[in-house]
Amino acid sequence: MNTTSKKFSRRGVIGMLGAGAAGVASYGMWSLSDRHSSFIDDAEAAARDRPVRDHTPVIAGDKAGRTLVMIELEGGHDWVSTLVPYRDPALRSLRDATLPDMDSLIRLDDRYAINANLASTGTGMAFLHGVGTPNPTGSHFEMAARWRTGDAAGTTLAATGFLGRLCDELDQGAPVTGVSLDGNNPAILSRKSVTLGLPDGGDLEWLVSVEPWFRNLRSGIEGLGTTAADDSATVGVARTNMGKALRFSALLEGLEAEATGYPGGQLSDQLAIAAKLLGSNTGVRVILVSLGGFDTHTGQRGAHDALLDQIDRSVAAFQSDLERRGLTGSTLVATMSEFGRRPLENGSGTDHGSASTALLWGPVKPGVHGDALSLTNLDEDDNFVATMMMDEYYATLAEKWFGVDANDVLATKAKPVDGLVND
Amino acid sequence: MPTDRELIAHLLRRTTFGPFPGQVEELVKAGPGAAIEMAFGAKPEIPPDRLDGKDDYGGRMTRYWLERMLDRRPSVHERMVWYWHGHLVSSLDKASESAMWRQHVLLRRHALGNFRELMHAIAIDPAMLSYLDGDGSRGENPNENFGREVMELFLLGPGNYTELDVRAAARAFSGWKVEGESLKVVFDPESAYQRPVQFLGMRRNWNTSDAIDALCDHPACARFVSTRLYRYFVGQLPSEARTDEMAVVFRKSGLEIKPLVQNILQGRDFAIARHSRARTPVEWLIPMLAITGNAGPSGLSEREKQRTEKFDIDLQWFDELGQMPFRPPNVAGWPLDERWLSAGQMLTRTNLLVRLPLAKTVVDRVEPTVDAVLAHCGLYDVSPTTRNAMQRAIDKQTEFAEGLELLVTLALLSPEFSLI
Repeated sequence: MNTTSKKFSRRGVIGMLGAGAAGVASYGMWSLSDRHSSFIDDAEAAARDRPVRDHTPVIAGDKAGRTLVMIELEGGHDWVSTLVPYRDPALRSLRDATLPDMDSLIRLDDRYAINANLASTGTGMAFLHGVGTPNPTGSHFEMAARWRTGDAAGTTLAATGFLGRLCDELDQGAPVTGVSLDGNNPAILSRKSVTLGLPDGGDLEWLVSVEPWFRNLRSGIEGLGTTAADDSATVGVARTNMGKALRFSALLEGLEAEATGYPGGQLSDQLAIAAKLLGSNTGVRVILVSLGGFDTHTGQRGAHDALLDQIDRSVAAFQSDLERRGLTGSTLVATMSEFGRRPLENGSGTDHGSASTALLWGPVKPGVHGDALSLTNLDEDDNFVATMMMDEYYATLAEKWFGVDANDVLATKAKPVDGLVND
Repeated sequence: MPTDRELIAHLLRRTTFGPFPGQVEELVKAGPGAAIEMAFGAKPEIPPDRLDGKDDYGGRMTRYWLERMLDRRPSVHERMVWYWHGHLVSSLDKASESAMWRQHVLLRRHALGNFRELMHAIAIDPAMLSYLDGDGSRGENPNENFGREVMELFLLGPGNYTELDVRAAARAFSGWKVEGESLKVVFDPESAYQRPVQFLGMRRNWNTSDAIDALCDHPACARFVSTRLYRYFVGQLPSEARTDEMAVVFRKSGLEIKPLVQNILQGRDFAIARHSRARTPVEWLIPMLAITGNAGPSGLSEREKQRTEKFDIDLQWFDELGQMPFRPPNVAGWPLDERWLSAGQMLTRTNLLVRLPLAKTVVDRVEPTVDAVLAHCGLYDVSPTTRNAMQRAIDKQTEFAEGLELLVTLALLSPEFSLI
């Protein structure tokens, strides 16, 4: 390729800076590392966009530093293959080809046993039975929208997401309070706190270089990111996000490059970044990650086993990582999924169902919580009848975990579950 | 009133993958009317059904497609091939490379043709049968995947059918099998559902062809398809009256796609909707590659081809930005919403631009001034904010090529270029 570019002659030097950077660039109530001083001008200019606010922590006491990592299990998680009701006489009339290996199950009690692919983390986990919604439909998109917005009935879907509203309550003026590592997942959309969707960390050397070309690029981007009175709504969104991009980059750039002990794969990669964000005092309180592949219409047994194995090994690595950082007691990992699968299998797989079991790791009371789903008392669509509503589960995360009043983040009144997460 | 340049650039943004450098200037003498006629008149390219060579996970066929998108000759047909891939979705995540290629050729054949024929063909297309689990679905215990999505996402939209219709559709669509590598699609009456069932309010024996016809005849179908196409081309949802108007045009033509698209593009609402919807990664990457001179021979004029080495498009870029052809994220295809304007997307696009050199052909031709660079990028109605940001940046940058690189980078990141 014939090129006259000069920016590439600088690349070697800059590349080394990016890869070796340690500590974190942040500001306000967070520490600012020296090597990022070249970025201060831009960062402070960007920070001026934020209104002056009281930085007193909203949440006091033991809950002040708590964080949540939500894993979205995309496609519809089949609880029967995860938490097997192994002694239920109805099980064999519904399931055969999709059942996991029944000989290797890990027994929890005289009713439930865990799929052996959760061998590392299974016995320390909490399982919350039967979480669903009123009037469920079989649409991935409608049900995912309900779970992401936190509107169980799907009647008044909000413009913000449940996790985004949690961030609004937890907001202490941090440059970023909520991060989605699943792109712009609507669950993280907030009203006042800064939340961002990010595909991956990327290569952000252009953000810290002191070379004039890069400084000019940054101030040019800052110019593009300045809103004007005559902007259309969409142009305004584009400009605002450019400003956000500059701000968030300051955080990511400082994160250490290497993560060890992770098995690799979609979930593992995202959890490795999550641990870095949580361990770097960036002010991030809520992180959304995702794992796709749960829409097991065919070949369910092998697919579901492999997914659980990926979850088990990734979460185990994440927990070790948190332990090294002293964050085990303050980080809760929880799952959401648009629905469960149909009780009766369709051959080698299962079709779209209704309620399922939520999975939790971290400071939880291990074992099974909530009321079991009946395998025989099904609804008119032959689906499980939920024993717990999504908003009760969400209220538990808000009140019991974060100390946030559930009424501030949910449109409906919902009672939190006792004894599931550490108060 | 928008100028002819603005209108032609808008037209090319929405109906092709341009505008490519110099293209608006080439068309401005003939005017917007002639430009639109030329784009509709383009000859569709239909390659053979079989993909030769070794399976390379879609690499060759993706490059083939990207090169068609980079072709400077305006073609609405080419744009519609891409549209249908996001509407009648299948993916390499589940379907084989050869099946996805055959589906691609199918979409090329029907892209501006008859919608009903397209639906009959796609319902028993090998890639679709694999992707939505029609392959091997038996009537007694049918797989509901295709039956549901064909109504929710392809033909009717939510609210126009019941859960019982989903189950009935699954039965109607049962009995098909795809035979291994030959991709031969066979129907086995033994495994199909052979008894009467209530579907869309009619109780009778249903097969795949009858069910597709009934869905195409459903009053919601013409409205749903018109609405989706309108949103794609205009960038917002149509009014009720506009939807009625489009549905009438579509139905009266016997569900011909071309008159519907022509109707959408001839509306005043189309002409005023400039820079109003986010450019998806493919819509951003294709013109970006041509603008920076990294498009390979197909994006260049004959004179430039003589002077440029063959450049391989890095498919990784499409993956990094979140839109890899042949691999839509799920059966709903890629969204058209503001997520493509997110901070994460802007970071990733900037990362890409600072790694990508400007070709010498661009440096030799384009002056490092705000006006010259904006025209090179096909931008003619640009806000003072964007112009000022670019001007201030170039004022500080004295070296010629570096100044040009800075201006091109900022233009490609500007809200105006990020919006189609």
